[in-house]
Amino acid sequence: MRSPQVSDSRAGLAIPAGMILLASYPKSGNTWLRILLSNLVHDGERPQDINELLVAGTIASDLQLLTDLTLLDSHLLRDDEIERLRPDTLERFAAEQDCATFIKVHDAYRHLPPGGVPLVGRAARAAVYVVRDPRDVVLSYAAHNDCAIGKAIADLNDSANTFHDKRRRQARLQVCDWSGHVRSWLDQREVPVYAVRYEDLSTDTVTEFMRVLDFIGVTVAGERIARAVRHSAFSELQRQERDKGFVERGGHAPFFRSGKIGGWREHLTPAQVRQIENAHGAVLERMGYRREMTQ
Amino acid sequence: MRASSWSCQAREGTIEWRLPRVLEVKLRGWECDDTPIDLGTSLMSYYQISGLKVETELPLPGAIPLPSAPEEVDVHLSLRAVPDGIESPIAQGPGWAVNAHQFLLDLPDGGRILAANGDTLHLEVPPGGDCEDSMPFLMGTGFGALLYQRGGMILHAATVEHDGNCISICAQSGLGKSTLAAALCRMGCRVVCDDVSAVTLDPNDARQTPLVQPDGRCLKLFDETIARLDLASRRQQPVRSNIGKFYVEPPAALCSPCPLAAIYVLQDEKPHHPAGIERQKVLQTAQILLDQSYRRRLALVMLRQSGRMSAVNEVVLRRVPVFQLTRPRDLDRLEEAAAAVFEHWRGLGR
Repeated sequence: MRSPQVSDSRAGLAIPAGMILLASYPKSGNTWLRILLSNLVHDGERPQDINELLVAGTIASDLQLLTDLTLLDSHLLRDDEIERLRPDTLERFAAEQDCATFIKVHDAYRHLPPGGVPLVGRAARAAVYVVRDPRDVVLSYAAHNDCAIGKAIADLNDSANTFHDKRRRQARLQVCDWSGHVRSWLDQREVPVYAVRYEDLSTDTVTEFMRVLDFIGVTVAGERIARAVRHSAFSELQRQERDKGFVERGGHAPFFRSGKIGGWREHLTPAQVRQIENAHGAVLERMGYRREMTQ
Repeated sequence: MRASSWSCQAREGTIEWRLPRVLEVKLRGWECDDTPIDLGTSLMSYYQISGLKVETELPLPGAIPLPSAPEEVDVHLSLRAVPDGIESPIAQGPGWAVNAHQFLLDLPDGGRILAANGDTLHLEVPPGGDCEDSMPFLMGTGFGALLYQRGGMILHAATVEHDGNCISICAQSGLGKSTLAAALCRMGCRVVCDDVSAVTLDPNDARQTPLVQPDGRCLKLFDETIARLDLASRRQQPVRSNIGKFYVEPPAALCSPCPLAAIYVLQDEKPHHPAGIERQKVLQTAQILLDQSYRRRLALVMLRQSGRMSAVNEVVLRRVPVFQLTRPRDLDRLEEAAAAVFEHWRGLGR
């Protein structure tokens, strides 16, 4: 299995050792943050190949990781058995790394059983939580899953929203509803977490990315950050996907589809906007998003 | 009698058997039979697994039964209390530990497996637990550990035979080894192994031909694959309850060792990995074979412990070509992928 380790010394970049979780609701900019980190580590004259990222796409729910570490074939395990094995698996994985390691997480933060051990274990030294306006998330979510926007909204509003990977590469993901997901990560007190809004990262990428790096203990020259940001421009990612495809693409639509902030104003009906705002008003406001059709 | 019709369950320290109706009747003496039944020995069964003769009181679904007790038994497999730890582990992971002679594995239902000295396998089932539920782990990781203790080389591969030689299709779990093997069987191949492909050297051949030892006579397939390949009539019992995977009796299985012609390492077609078959460089194959070992971490521990590659590995490296097989992960294009492999394989001898 390809290791998601970041060989920081070779790349001349000092990232303190330990496991860092890159957490988000699906389709919220997690992959883009990973591409930024990859380009920062890579620091090449040309952008990193999006299909060969240095900060690999290992996800906390990866079943191959679980099989490899537990010696139990994950395809012979039931969902509840897999869940019980996940904390130990991640802790063991973290213990084996001798340098900084980034792991993507889409699960809501929760414990097994409630009050027990965190699903992501206790080994992570930090988490970066990417949050995105749910009115834009539904557009990206619908395109990625080849579903109608109405279905995407229903999923984002469903406190029992669960993903089952048809290809069985990932464990069952209990992502819950959008508000519940945000709260679960930002209100937990076990992993130090830094929340970054996709919109801020997109608008002033250098500044926001520097803040993320500062949080995870990375000091790096501004010039290098600026280069990483240039190499991670959405137009560049779209070009690469158009030319060579992208390994993480789910549905028929491109993975790097639009990335636009506020695209929902063109695509959602007023009723759909109200549906989202009514369901998530409190967290929308907490995260600094303005309600536009409800109070 | 089909092994699949047996089952047992542990309850408060005793084993409750669910026997096939005919045997149950015989044991109760309701059916006339000239042969007196000795309950102690008539419950013992014998199987051939990965080249080893196994004696057990447990039913082993999908394994190749031996018609009678062999003169020598290689492995004793039994239900037994298993300690919750082993002395001086040289490696451990979540729920497992290994030392020079033993391998201990915790099962998800609270049961445990102990493989010791290359000849003993013990399964402990928790009260209320079900032996059948533990069986895939016993036959998989448990037996794999035992084979490693005997110094074996094991590929995580499905193996099929045609015309007197076989190919092993290696891949991680869930990547479609058994599915591709099933598709090749529709083209006239016979199943040799579903998951655990143990390689040995032919003791009767001065050239030391690498042989693959059959691990059973069934494939383990998910429901949708069974439906897509029209194998519903061959579907047998579930591999475990509620996982959607079933034993499937292939049209034909080979129950004897078979010369290994080639190894194909399966990967999905991706934008940067177009479909095709590519021979791997000799210098890379040692690492590839290690990566494709059954329960790779266990193989690494054993390799570190012995300090050298097994003789089988060395011969396989010299004699067996290794190919990267990149194919679309699409059941609708399965036959296309199987035909490409078959044609490539048949072309190797020319």
